[in-house]
Amino acid sequence: MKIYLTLLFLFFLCFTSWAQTLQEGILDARSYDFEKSGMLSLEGNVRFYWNEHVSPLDAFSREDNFLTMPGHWEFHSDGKYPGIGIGTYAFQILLPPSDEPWFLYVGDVSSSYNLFINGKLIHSQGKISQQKENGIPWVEPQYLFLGHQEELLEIVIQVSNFYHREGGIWYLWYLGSESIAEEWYRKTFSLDLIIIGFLTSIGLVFTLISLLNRNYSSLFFGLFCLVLAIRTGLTNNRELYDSLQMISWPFLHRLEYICMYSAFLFFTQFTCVLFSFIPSFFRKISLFIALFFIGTLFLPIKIYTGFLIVFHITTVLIALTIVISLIRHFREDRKRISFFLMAFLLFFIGLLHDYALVTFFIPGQQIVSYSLILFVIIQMGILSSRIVGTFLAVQNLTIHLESLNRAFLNFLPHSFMKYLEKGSANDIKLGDHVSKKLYLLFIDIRSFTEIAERLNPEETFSLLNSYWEKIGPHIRKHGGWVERYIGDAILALFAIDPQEVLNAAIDIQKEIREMNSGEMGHELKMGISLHYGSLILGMVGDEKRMQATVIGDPTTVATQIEGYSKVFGTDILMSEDFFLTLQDPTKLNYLFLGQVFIPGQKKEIGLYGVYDKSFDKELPKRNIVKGYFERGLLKFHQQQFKQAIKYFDETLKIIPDHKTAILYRNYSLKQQDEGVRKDWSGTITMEY
Amino acid sequence: MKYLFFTLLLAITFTLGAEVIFEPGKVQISNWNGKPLKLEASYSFYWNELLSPGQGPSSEPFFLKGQWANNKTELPPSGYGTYQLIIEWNEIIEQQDIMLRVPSISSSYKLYIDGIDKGGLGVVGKTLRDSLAIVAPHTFFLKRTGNRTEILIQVSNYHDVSGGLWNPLVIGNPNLLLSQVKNIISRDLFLCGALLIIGLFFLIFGFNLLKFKSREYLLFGIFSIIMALRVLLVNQRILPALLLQIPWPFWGALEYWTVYVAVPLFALFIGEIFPRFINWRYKIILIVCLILGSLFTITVPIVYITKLISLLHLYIIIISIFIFLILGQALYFKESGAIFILIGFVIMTSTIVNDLIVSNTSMQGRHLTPWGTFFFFILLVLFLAGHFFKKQEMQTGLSKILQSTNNNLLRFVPLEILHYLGKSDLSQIEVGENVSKEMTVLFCNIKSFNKLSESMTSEDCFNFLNSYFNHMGPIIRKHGGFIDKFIGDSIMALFPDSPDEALSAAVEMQETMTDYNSGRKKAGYQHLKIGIGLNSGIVTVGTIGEKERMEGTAISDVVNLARRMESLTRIFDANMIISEEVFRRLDMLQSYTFCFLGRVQVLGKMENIGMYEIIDGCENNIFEKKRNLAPKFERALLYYHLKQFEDAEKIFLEILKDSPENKATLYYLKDCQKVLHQGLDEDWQGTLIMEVK
Repeated sequence: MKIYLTLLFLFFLCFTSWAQTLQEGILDARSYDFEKSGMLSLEGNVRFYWNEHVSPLDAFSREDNFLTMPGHWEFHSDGKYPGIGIGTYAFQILLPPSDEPWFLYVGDVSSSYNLFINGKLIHSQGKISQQKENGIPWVEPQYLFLGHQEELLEIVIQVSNFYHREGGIWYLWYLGSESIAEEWYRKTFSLDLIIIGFLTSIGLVFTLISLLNRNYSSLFFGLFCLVLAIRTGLTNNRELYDSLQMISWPFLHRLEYICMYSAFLFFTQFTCVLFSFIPSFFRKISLFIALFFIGTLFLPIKIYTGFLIVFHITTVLIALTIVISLIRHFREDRKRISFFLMAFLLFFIGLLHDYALVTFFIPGQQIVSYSLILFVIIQMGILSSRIVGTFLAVQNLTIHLESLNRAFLNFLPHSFMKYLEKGSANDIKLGDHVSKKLYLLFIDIRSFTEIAERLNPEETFSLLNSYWEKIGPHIRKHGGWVERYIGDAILALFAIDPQEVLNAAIDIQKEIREMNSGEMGHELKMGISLHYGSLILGMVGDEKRMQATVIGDPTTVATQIEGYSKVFGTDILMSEDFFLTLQDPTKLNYLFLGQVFIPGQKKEIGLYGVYDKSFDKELPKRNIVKGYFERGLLKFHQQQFKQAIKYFDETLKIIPDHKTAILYRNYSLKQQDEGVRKDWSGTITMEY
Repeated sequence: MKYLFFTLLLAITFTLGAEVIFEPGKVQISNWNGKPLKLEASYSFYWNELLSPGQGPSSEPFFLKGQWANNKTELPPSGYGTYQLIIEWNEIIEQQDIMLRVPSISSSYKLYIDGIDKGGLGVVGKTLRDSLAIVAPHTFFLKRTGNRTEILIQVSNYHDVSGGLWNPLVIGNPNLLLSQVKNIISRDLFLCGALLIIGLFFLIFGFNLLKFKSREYLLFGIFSIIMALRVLLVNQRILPALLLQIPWPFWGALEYWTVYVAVPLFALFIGEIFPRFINWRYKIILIVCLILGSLFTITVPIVYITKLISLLHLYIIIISIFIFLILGQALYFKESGAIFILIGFVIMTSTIVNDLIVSNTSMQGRHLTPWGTFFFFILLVLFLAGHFFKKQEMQTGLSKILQSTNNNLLRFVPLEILHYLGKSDLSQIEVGENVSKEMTVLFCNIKSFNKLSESMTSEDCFNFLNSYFNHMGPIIRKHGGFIDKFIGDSIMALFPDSPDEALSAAVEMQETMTDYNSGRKKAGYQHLKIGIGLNSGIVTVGTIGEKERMEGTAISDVVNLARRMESLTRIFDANMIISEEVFRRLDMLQSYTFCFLGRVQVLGKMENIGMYEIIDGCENNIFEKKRNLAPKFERALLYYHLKQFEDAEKIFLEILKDSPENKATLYYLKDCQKVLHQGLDEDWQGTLIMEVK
């Protein structure tokens, strides 16, 4: 209560002026400096005549009877005059001399009046009457031009009230001269209008947005702002009254109350949506509010305004509950709750101030709209940061997922999927497969086990990877893909052009020589075999683990052929099947190496060695010996071993370590010694 | 003749209830009830004279309705002069209070009514240096006495391209005119508040979203705030009227600045919304326009800015065409929202046109621009909100798709291996990362799969394999293991926890196979056997390959041996073989039935490794048989290793009597007989030598 009083006191300081007061119906403003002190507020004791409309001519010659203004007459007379009834206020103001015209701001008078100045009717609001039937109520503050005036202002106000429970002058009146009045007046309504514009657009935007994203907190917040915009237009300076003159005042008054109730309703719902921990009975408050609604709609003004105090108590209680429950849950979401709480307290203080004004008839302006603006701006900040937060969360999730996706895709055999005609990983099912004729390229590091023996596992890993990293691009560049890594070997597949496969093999051999001459510290040799055949590509695994796999004889054959590269001393070997697919083999430096037997195969397979100047320094020599070797091989197959040996010897004279020639020479010698078996076909079989 | 146009120009406005007759330099009013009345008369204008009341003019007047510099007068805009208007009242009233609303006059004036100095705005001077320019509408009050009122306005202008009166004066009953002015100002204030909050909101909002390259919100926020400011600067000039101490050059420059900035800003905003139809070059041009425009208004004196008003018009027209081109394209390509913006724009424009017509003719009508603008902005905000939520929805959709894709992709990713690499963020996997850990390796293959596959189509082959893998996979995972890879029909799995788990998985796999076979038998399919090899030791797991094509893999001698052991199951016709390493590590050894199979030596390595067959998991009859044979076989093997080959042979032959197809016995019997025939090599160790690649 102490805090409340202190706050109240503070607001008194802000919104009331202590300048000069009316005493016994007279205000001596002759020494009042308008330029310096601003508008003169009219408050104090004025003449008052109950139950009659006194003519302005004899308003000052009656017996003395005084009443305080502003504030309704029942309140100031301690119930002597009932709220409903008629009466006449009269007072005099002594003005300083001035060339300027005067302006009078007439605060709300309930609920109709005629204003006379120096006996002249200046303004009539609504229609005054002796009975309710003849009168028309209208409560709106007025800013009146009084014109140039003499030194004395005699003001008489005939009031009649048959509608509101509180009759008479409600709010402060102000008097001022032209030079200060206009600016003062413009300021009083400017702020209100900016606030109305503010609330209307925020309200509209959030309400309409809530239709887009089906978010209840936006909807309630939007509606809250909209009804408050209307309410702001209906209170204080009542800016909306000008455009709503065709509507009767009791209706406008009802509208004002309904706006207040619905604002409260939307506000509690908004808070409930925002903070799920707020007690659930809050959601049922709508039922309670509905009573106020119905009351306001169907009861006369003088009755439903009586509920106001109940409503005030309810709102204060509920506001306190909200504050307590927010503080209790403060730890759950510090940032959000502290912002909300700050905004809410600002709003709450404004609300209390206004309630106090209404309840205790303290003259002053309602400030809830201003504290509301702060509340709304902070709320807007919270809501927008929530929206942005959601967006950012989604966006971050997407970015995270994308990076995961990218990382995962590296494990996926993309080219493989192309042949399965699958666009994305989602389409892949277990058992998807396709049969296809493909080119195989098999690379194996010769005697890797021996090298690995000298290394620890980590070094082995990095050695292998450093090679694979260099080789992979060559395979991709020529349109192929790595099907699988098998320890120190790679199986790569190509779909289109055998020449490209060959180029890939040549590039890889070149690359290896470059790497060996670099600072690798290991002299690695690789054998490459090329083959062509029909394969089945498909997906195997179970629901948790899936893998692309190639099934088919050619994979075995390619692996086996590679084994011969060491025997024949060739870096690149092609199978006959592969050789036959070449468009123009004459462009190549190749050598037929004879036929080999591969276990599990029905036919023996012809092998060709490929040489290229890019990695083979002995190429010129090889071209020279090509003739000898080929003739030797021919003779070998014709079983003329003696001539064969001669040709092989010729070959070895030029290239002493021609491994194939040595192999065949030894074989020929053996055949010469042992004699030829009947089923001899000249096929080489590798011994394991 | 020159003034023929002006002479006796009658405008009788009946709606006002008053009769008004305009004559050059004069207005006759009768029946006036005080309703606000525009004095759209031709004012007498004396060029280069500052007339004081009572002072006779020295030159012939021009008759003007507005500013003095026009085609007919051929006067320069800069200079000074005096406007004069005489109002003649047809009925004589003793006294009447009248309010005179003086609209913006460029650029300073002093007002005399009936010879009384009423003050004015700024300082009127005969040179630029003597004068002070202040432009804002202002209100004066006068008391009408008699039937004649003389209005005299001394004006000087050195700051604007149009000097003098911009709009006609308005007179009226003070309360009526005040409330009219209040209404107009109210609408502007309302609009200002509305735009200001929209601008603030989008400023905060857009700033937060800036890091995601969504600039449209921020641009819109700035645009709204500039427009809110502009609302206060034009028409009733609420801000200049409030702050009269700040002179016109500042307010005027600010007013032009808002246009020079807002127009390209709006174009940029539209460009950000429909990025398809604008390329970066145009954006840069717009930004340059914006900067140059704003520099121009800041640095150049106001008089030149207003002189170059045609430049501003050109500027607006070109950028507007550009905006319409983008909107048109967006509309043509059915971009959502383009129609929205266009409708809003058209409505706003039509309200502006409406107001122009209303103010230029004496038609009665409402002042609609604020409402049109308000409507346009609300539409824009809604559009932006929709735009935003659509984006968000797209993002959500995208992340959903990615999620499901990732779930699918995960099946290709060796998660467990990555787990051992200690990666918390899976997206940070690099090639070549590895870690060494003690694990148990399990290899499992289908015996005689090659024969089986020959009799199947490729379709059947894949279906069979997958159904088989689907039976085996869950068992491995259940026991804490994971599948490293499938190699043809083989499964390679790793068990990081304990060999016991690996073994119980292996046993369960065999049992599952028994069930699976009974199913196959009913369907008339071939009986299948699987062989499982288990080995334990330090295994290096990691990623191998290259950045674009990675595989998780395990490399180790332990793996290679396990793979060989799987083929050993074929040689010994065993279901499961575990190595000594596993055997030693088993905790639950007693619950299994096992049989020692001898020792194996890996080619190129010195040590040899003991092998044990696990008999559990076999079909019942075989299990019984094998269990009974085991002690005998082990005894024979002991003799064999002790080089007592005759004894060994005897027992082996005995075993063969019971089960003639016992492959292990056959293998060792053959070796015994070979030794007995050929004699013993020096380096004989009784081991089976295997090449391990």
